[in-house]
Amino acid sequence: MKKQYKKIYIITIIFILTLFINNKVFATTLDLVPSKKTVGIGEQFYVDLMISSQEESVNTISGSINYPINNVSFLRAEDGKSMVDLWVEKPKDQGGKINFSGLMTSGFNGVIDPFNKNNKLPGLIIRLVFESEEKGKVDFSTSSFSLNLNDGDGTEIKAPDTSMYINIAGFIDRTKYENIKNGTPKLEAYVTRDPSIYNNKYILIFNAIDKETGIKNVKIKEGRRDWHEIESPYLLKDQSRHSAITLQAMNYSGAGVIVNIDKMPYKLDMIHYVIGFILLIIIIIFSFRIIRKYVKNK
Amino acid sequence: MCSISILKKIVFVILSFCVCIPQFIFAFNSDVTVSAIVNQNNSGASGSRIATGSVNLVTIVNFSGSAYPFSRVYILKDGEIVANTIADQSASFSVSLLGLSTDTYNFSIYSEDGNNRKSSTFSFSIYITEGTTVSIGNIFLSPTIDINKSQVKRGDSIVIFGQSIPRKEVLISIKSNEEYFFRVFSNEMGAYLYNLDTSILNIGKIQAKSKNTIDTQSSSYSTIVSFFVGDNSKVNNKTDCSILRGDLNCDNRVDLVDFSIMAFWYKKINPPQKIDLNNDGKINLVDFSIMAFHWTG
Repeated sequence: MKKQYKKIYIITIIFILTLFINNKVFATTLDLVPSKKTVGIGEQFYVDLMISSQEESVNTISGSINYPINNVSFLRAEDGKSMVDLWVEKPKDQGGKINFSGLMTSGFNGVIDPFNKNNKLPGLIIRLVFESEEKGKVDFSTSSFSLNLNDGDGTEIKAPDTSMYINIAGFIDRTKYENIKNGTPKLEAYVTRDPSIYNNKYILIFNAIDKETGIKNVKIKEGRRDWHEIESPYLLKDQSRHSAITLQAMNYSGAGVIVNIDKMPYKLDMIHYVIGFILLIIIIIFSFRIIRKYVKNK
Repeated sequence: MCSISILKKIVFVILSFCVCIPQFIFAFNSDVTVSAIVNQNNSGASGSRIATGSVNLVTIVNFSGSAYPFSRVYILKDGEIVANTIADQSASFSVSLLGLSTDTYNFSIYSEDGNNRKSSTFSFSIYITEGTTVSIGNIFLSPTIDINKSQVKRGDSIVIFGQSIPRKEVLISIKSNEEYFFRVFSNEMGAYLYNLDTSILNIGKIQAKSKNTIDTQSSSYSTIVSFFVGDNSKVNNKTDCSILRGDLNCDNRVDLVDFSIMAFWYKKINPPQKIDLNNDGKINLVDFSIMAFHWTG
């Protein structure tokens, strides 16, 4: 009978250890969650990349999401609700593969639900909006995702690949996905310089945030130059800093915010006063001569 | 009878396991308390309703815990400082944020002592629902830590000091080839100081960190300070920004400017040494991760 106890204990312990070890290895997992499992041809839908982490805090993420270019077309990436607050590489489509890397400055180890503290919620990394084009079973998958622990050493961990599929049915459906929220973007910007970039020239550093749909673009108007899209850090064209700078951040719902950065006031030092004084004397002498000549001729 | 007994034991083992797992999961912040209530008077604190007639929901998020006497405590929401307060003489602090909408928020909290030394950052993500009061309590911030020498001659002493909650035990961890622990008590202002005899340490890079303990509760570890044990001693030069890793422009903050400087060098060859935080000759996500760990906003 004692042997029987022993066996049961051993099996129970092995079972528990197996569960424990499995949890430990995949402490941080990724999931692809579609807005719909079945869509029509021409219908817009989204796929959310969700992160779950319970036992460890991570603060960077990088990797790729793969999709079939024959069945769907990629429209945009929305980062308004993302746990990533600074993108090192913004989501970029490379024909069937969307790559990105970003930073979570607060770290992430699950979202606390204050009304259910024992169950941490997953967090959104990115929402990818697609439009279906051709009927079929469409696979989406993650690949090469690596994360760094929020441990001060940047210890790298891997997230297991994950995949899911949706069905594109034969019917036509022109439903558009629109994230209609009335949020206004926030934009903070500084002009600064640092010896370690662009040879200590003036640069513009900015961060645009939109908690609803995400930022579509940031444009600059520097002095009389035309508006154009920029990324941070941006090397200012006018290094004298005498051009007024206007920045505009737009979100995907069409709302924008404008920030003006004052130009540097002209600073007159001694040499300017001396030159000005000499010029004034010359003008007075010439004026005096002209007047004298005029009077003489009369 | 016998099979019932076996069953009982199995149930006992499984129950023990089930009890242990949640404690493990929340080991990172096991002492922090989170509570939430739905605000009863959600017609607005002042009883007002907005023009459309919809209910003006009152949302409050309270933070409370311990830092150091009269230290400044910063609250960051999604990487930006949104509030700060001064801890009282007993090191307690409390801050409230109002007017948040229903969303997931990333909060970070850290404290700064009188000499601009910072605690490590306590961070968490939380889902806030409009019309509720959420209280995050018992936040126990780590002590600050500093050293008086960046290099010390083996056998000489080095002073490890900082600020913590007053009159409590501070545990100092010294990592050489093996890890040593030393205990010291903070004074009534929370200051602590330990003279470390380096004769026990190996020649090379040494890392020091500290944490507070009160009864069974302990804070997280402080940021890590490093020094070298060698043939001579050098006074710790604070002007080289080495105290706060990731502070690339030496303004005593790790923020968007530092991120932008690092982003400029991402995947470029020959980055300046001060930007390459892990000294591996390249700027990759490891460097960004180290920067994020020290983020001050």
